[in-house]
Amino acid sequence: MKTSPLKKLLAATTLAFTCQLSTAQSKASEETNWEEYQKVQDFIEENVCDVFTAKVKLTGIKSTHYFSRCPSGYNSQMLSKENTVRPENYVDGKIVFYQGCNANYVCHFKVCVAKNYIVLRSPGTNYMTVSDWVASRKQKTEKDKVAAR
Amino acid sequence: MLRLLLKIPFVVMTLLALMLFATTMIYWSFRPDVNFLLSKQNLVDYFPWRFAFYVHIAGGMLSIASGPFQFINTIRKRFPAFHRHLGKVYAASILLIGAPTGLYMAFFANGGWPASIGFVLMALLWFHTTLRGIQTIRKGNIASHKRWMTRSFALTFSAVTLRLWVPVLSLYSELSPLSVVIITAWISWLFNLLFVELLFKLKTINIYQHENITA
Repeated sequence: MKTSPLKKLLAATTLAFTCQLSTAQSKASEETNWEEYQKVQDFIEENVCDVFTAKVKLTGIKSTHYFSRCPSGYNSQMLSKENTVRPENYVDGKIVFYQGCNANYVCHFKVCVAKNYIVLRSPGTNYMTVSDWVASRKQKTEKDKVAAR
Repeated sequence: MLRLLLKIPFVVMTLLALMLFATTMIYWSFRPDVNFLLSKQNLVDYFPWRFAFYVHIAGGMLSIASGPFQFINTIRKRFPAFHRHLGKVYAASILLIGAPTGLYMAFFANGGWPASIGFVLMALLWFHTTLRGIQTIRKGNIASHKRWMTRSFALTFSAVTLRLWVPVLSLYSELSPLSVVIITAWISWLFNLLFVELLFKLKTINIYQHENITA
């Protein structure tokens, strides 16, 4: 019986896909509660990343770097251990601005979803609220502009 | 004047294809911390994946750089042998290199299985359309060959449209990065295919004006 190359390719694909799924499932962590992890991530997304997207414009970004298959924009990276990322815990991490696949550091954060607590810190400064951090960033940008003139 | 205006989309397409070729050159430094590899740090040390990645970009670069020149009427008319040879390079870069490795890498796609399925389908269609393009020209069916090869290049060009859709959706929509990755795994090639099918329907595409040219 003659089998077309497409059918052979389809069969190989199905086999490889099944293998890949079973490997991924066996590797899944048992300790981390991903639902709770996601709640923390959503909290940061809504209260920090979305605010930054609307109010913080970064300078010195090369537009050609956006021609990429990685999503651009603000994102959070957890520094606390995965299994401790829960709404009732204090969680540390950093905010980065993705320019294509390149991550540019923006600031550190500390959050506790249950207490509605969010503070941000840049290197060499103390923790401050999101609104204060945005204001200080704007002041810094203005100073940089004046200095550039 | 109108003829010149009609050529603008083709020139833009060619420039974008060459831009992708140029930006992909960085991977030949074999550094594990550049561009796309930054998002694949869990796989860069996994030899089968990394090997497939380099083979895939080699095939992809050949197909994206050679593809646009196959649509130029002057080349097909005056240098049919060149068209034939370049066509063989284009087809081999997809059938033997780009599509099989793309299919393998699809299983490791960012965005999980919803993105994987999109890329798997794309790789299979990329292989299929190119193969049909070869089969039809062997039978001397030039009109059908042109249609299949146009579809094939629409899929090749999805490497470019993917890199255009991702920043547009991530910067100008409310979608999460994960949603952007999944959605673009589909629309990057699906819209290209729909676009060429629409062009076939409208019959405005220039390549059908020279049915009598031997490819």
